[in-house]
Amino acid sequence: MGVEPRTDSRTRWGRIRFAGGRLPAMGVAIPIGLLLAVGVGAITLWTGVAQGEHALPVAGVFALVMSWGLVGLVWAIVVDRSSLRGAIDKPDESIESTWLDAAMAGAFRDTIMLTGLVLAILSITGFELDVLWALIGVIVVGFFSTFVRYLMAKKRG
Amino acid sequence: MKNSLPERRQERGWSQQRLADELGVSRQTVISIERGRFDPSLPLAFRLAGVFACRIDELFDPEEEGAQPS
Repeated sequence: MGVEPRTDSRTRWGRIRFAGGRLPAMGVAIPIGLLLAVGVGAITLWTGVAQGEHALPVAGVFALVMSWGLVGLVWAIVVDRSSLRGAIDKPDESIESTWLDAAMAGAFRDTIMLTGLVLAILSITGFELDVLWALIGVIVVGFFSTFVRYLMAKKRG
Repeated sequence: MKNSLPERRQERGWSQQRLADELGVSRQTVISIERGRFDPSLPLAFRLAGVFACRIDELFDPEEEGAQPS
């Protein structure tokens, strides 16, 4: 008696979108992501961000903090969506896509308005804002607004 | 847009998840269409009509939306 073939070969983390999908996506994402994280650590040493007697541990922490994000980024690039268990075939026609589009459009308006408002306040008061903090603020406002708007749209159904 | 999706789905004894799988969309999409809160794209409407073996205008009733009080 033969073994019945599996009807669903999709896996939780999927397979890569190239090389015929022979490799699991995480099997590619983890080593490449970790390698990139080590590269980030090396850059902190090279540029002097990590310096002094604790330079190596500081670079290690940089690499560690960046590693999960880089592994995730590489995974998102290499994974074949159709090989993911539970992934829907037409995400662009699902309502979640509409919610996200609306949330991102709203977040863009929020970011523009808030940036304009802060710019006006800075012009009037003469207060100077560090460009790094300003850019971080723009990113945070964009993400936060998208997140909140998406949740609101989801709640409305 | 009002539609006859719930009745047609129940006639077949399908769950919302089963219909979502047939259409390749999320279950939430089916829920929202059935409640009339989400108008499907034209390709999705054609797939719905194909699944239920009927015409699109037999599934959806655009007149009903206009009848809602403002």
